[in-house]
Amino acid sequence: MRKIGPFRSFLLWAVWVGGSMGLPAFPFAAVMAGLSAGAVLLWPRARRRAKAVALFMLPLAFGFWLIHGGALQLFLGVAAQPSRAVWALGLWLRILSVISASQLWLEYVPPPVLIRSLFAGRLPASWAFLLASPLLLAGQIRARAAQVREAQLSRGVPVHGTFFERASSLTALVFPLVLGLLNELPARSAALDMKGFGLFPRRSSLAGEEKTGPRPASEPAPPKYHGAMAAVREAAFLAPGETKPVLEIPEFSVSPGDTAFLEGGNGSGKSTLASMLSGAVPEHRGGSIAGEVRVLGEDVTSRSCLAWSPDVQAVQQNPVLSLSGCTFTVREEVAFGPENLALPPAEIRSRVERALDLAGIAHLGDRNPACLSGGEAQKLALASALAMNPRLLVLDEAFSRIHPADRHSLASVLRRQAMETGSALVVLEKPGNASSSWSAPAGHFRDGRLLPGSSPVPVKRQSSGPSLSSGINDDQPVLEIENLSFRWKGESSPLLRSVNAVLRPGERAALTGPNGAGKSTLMRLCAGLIEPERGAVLLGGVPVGSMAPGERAARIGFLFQDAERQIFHSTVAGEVLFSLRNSPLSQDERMERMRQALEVTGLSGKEEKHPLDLNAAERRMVAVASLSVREGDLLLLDEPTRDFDPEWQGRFEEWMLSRPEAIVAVSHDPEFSGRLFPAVWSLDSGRLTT
Amino acid sequence: MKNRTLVLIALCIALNIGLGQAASTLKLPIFLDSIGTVLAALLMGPWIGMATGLVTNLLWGVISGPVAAAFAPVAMVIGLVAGLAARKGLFRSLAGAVIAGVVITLFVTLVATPIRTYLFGGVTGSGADFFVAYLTAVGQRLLQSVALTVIWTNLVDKIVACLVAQAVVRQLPGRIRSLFPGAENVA
Repeated sequence: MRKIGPFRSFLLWAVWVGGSMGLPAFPFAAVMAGLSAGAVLLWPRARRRAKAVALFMLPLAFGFWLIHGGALQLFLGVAAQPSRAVWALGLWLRILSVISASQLWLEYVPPPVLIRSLFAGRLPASWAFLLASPLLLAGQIRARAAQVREAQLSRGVPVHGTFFERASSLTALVFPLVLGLLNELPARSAALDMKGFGLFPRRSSLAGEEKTGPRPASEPAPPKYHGAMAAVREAAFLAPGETKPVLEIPEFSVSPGDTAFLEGGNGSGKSTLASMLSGAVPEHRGGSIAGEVRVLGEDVTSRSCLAWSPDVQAVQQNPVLSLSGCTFTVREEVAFGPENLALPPAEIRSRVERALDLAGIAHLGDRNPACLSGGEAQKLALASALAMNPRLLVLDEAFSRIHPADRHSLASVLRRQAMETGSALVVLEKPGNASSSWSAPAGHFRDGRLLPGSSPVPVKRQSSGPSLSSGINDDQPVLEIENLSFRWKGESSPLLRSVNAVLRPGERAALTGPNGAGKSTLMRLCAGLIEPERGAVLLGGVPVGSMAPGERAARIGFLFQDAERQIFHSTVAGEVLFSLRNSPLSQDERMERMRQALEVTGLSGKEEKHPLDLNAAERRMVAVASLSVREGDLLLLDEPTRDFDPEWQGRFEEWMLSRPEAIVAVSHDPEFSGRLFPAVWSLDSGRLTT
Repeated sequence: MKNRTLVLIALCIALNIGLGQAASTLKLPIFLDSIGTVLAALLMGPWIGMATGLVTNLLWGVISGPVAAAFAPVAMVIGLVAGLAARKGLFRSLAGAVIAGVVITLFVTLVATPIRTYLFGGVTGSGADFFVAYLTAVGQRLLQSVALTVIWTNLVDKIVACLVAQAVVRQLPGRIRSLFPGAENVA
């Protein structure tokens, strides 16, 4: 039997719906309802949908009986109309027929099939995009809503409780979620432009029938340009409405085959340069360029970001934001960009395989892009950019989540690739460990300027080591973990097996272990955000699980991996003061506390700034300042130093050492944990060694 | 259409779906599934708001079944009216946003009532059926009973949606606000 395509089956469905609604109810609609409902029950694949049909149709039947059955009229002593009951039964059968037929169609054409055929079909690609990408985004939103909820719960925002409590906590949940999403909008739309989406009216598709792409294969190659791939002279970037430039670039250029490695700390202008070179100003980065910025010999502002995409690719730090959201495998995701360039299918295939090889993810080709780890996703973003065969590739902290050993090999692959193809590579990184993979820096960012040569050796403010005396501390413990076991719902093997640990006042412990060992889970258990399977976590002798959220929040401070999850005020001051909303302090004392907290976190003078306008390090410090205005018993820090350059790290270390609380910190940096933490707890295969 | 607009619509649709599901898990008595539609309308105008509403319900249809798709005109009207209200300056004040919520509810009632009455016989399969049943039993016409129920179940939800969307646009960092021409209609 020939398979009926999604489009034909949709027509069939539409005819069925038309018949069910238009033909006389008896006998036609009744028979059709019987047929389609029967098919749902008899087709084994669709049988699981029978429950959904029943859950919808039975309450509906009750409603029909209630409204049209005449029972209530009888009860109230009003004359009932029997004809209405018959009409209502007919309508119910029509609805049953439509609902069952729809469930059959949905089962026959599951979302991946539907979306692939939408992209391969004649519908404008923008409609296919709108139907596809929200599905992926909704998944991301659900995951993030859970993180926001947890962050707010740890700040004492009630998530359960009375209606008014739930309704008021809704603002604390909805705002960080929505603001965060809109804040990422420019990054997401720039990424879609980078994939050349919408550049040509017709795109080619690997999913459709085999046909040559809309563009002829033997297209004359554009005249090869041999000058500098990027040349910047006396240029500056101005933020909207400002006259003082955010970034000045006296002179910078990169020739074909070359790699330019540039260093800069948090907020020094790396991303600004990446936006300038990829044509994202002003469409995705509001503001303007002054001076001369030429890419491939052309003025960069002469083309839009989208029009630059076949020649220039920029890869940004957060790989999740650069996923198209329209694909279901890694291979399809890498092919998405070349498909948009309307290339012939054979060429797309060879580009995809080459890009997967270069990025070292050929073995992940059939995986779902949404389920990759951070490092794998960064490699995917890199492969997607490489598949566009760019002549200028800009990498903006594109390796931050990739394992250091892989970084080296990727760096040499990319350098060789640039030399062989005559393309140019601009690599932007924070000063520190990444630099060893590349040659000496061609430039560095300092005080809003791009200067030649490497940055002066960073004066790393080495914080004094452990200040604790080595004598035995026999105070009453702050934190006691007793025989703690935990397993995720539905998992067969436990994540933590009988974990034991003790932390006394003022002690600091670093929690280390491989990816996925359960470090963050152990922190959540310590904060009482999740319940253990067995055993207990005691805070000053009291189980944390039994405390009220408000009390727990007053005693335990939790710094999450992604600090921006909790931000929902439009000023730094508002965000920090939120932590004091239930405290008995007077207004003056609160302001004084806030002033001190901002001073130690290096945020003085930024009170009225929007937290989401700050750079990654400052944003994290806002969360630190929110912890700093209060004094509890225990601080839990989950990868606290991930976003910091050496200068911010120094400031953070000073803050941490000044805190009176006992501290547990997750860290991947052995130097950091060895220098500042007298105790190291290492977690591996569910067991903790202290 | 620019890719930026496409991504905004996609984000707002995802918000509608995500928040709609969150509201039902938090067991709140409101839907919260049109905040994204109002937001899109405030940022990019009535037509984009309308498109957001339409695709949201088409997608609900793909996820859960055709009932949501049948109500797509309702979602479109929410986006359209919210965008027009913003152009008239209703979102410049808190009171204005509440009025916008009331106006949206009225238009929603105009569109939703016939769909509910003629396509579903006024039945939803929820607790609202008791209300409709009572009203019809005491002599109200079916159309009027359904209209009253639609107003009663939507008023709070649409006012909340307008207030939340307004507050979000107000709290957007300037960097993002400057990308959207419509944002200046929300003071």
